[in-house]
Amino acid sequence: MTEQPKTDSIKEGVLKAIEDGRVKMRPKWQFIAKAALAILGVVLVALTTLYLVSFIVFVLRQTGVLFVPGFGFRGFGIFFLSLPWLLIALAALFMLLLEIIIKRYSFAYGRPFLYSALAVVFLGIIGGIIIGETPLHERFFDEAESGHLPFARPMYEYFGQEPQNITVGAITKITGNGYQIQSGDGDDLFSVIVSPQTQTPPPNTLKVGDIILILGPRQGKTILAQGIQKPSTLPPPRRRFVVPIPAQ
Amino acid sequence: MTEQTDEQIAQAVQKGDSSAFGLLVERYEPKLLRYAKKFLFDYEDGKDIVQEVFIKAYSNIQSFDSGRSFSSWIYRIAHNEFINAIRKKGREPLSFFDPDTLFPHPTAPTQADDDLKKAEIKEMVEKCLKKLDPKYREPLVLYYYEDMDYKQISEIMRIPVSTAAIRLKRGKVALQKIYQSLNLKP
Repeated sequence: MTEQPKTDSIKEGVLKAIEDGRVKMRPKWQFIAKAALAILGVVLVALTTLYLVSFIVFVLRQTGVLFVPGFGFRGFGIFFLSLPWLLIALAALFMLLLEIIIKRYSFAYGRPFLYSALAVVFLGIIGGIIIGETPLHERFFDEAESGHLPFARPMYEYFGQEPQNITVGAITKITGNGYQIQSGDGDDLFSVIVSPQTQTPPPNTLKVGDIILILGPRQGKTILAQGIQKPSTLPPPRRRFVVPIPAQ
Repeated sequence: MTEQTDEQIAQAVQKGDSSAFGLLVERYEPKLLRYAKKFLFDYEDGKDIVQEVFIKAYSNIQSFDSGRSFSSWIYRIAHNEFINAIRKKGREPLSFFDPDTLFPHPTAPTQADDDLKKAEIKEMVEKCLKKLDPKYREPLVLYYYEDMDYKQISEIMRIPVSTAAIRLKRGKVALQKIYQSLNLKP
């Protein structure tokens, strides 16, 4: 608390403190700078949130996880187990941070937390999905793989991997018991074994060059397919960091 | 000659007329002292805190937007100082988290208390202040003593308008209970 002048009247005390120079008016630029910093903080946190959500969308599409629920009940189970929970938790944390920062503005504190929080989540998800549809992360992925983004490389490398039991690949050959595919793991080819129990698209609908999603365990270079799908929006498999990190 | 508005005086202070600040102190001293007396009923240093409110107001006057209400702005500073005083003394619990601010509450569109009812509740608040939780005491004081509406209370306390309304409503219910427990006639 500021040292108080010993006078009976508040007015006298305050004016005397101003006159004596014990209380000074803070210059306007300080408030402008503070407001600008706060806005910058909001923008940075919002951009980070959008980046994280769009990265989640990119990872889900690229690894094929987004399309796994198409395999039915089992697909849903694998979908939930394969979600990048760490990224989701991080995105949720940034959304919370954004909500806390915007609460200083009347448009946010004047409304119940539920409304402003829902707006943040909704805009974060919609914005993230829109950005996720652009080639932004594909470019970052390629740049990270070629070592031009050393800071981003571990993230793209770690989250760009396909989860267990899910493989995305391009059909290179139709074999007697299934397909031969080329996945994103370097130039290696995988044999996809189809059994009568395999959930597949109608016969003769798959051809060489098609990008397919395979559900099933890998045994070396063989995949025992439990399900095969050809989602129309499934992106082609990307080479996954076969180039070593350049020495610093 | 028309009397200058608070906002016009604040603008003059912003332009360097420090003596004009005395006019604002004159206008708000009785109001803020009353607010302090009612909200900080048991705090002997209420006058010092109000003086600190004016000093903070002067120091931060350049952050005041003259397009908005000076009254809400200075009451907001007072609210912060009073809450700090309560926290510092630690006599009453004040939680950082309030579930009332989480969800929307359906509220009556306007305040419908007639003068008689208002006077009656004001008397109840006066008698039961000590027993009231600060989170209900403050909106009741602002509404019944400072004649603020829901919107102004919401701006001063930085809570949703519906939360201000629900606190007033719950405050009145709490007031009734305290009143009855004290065997006083409403």
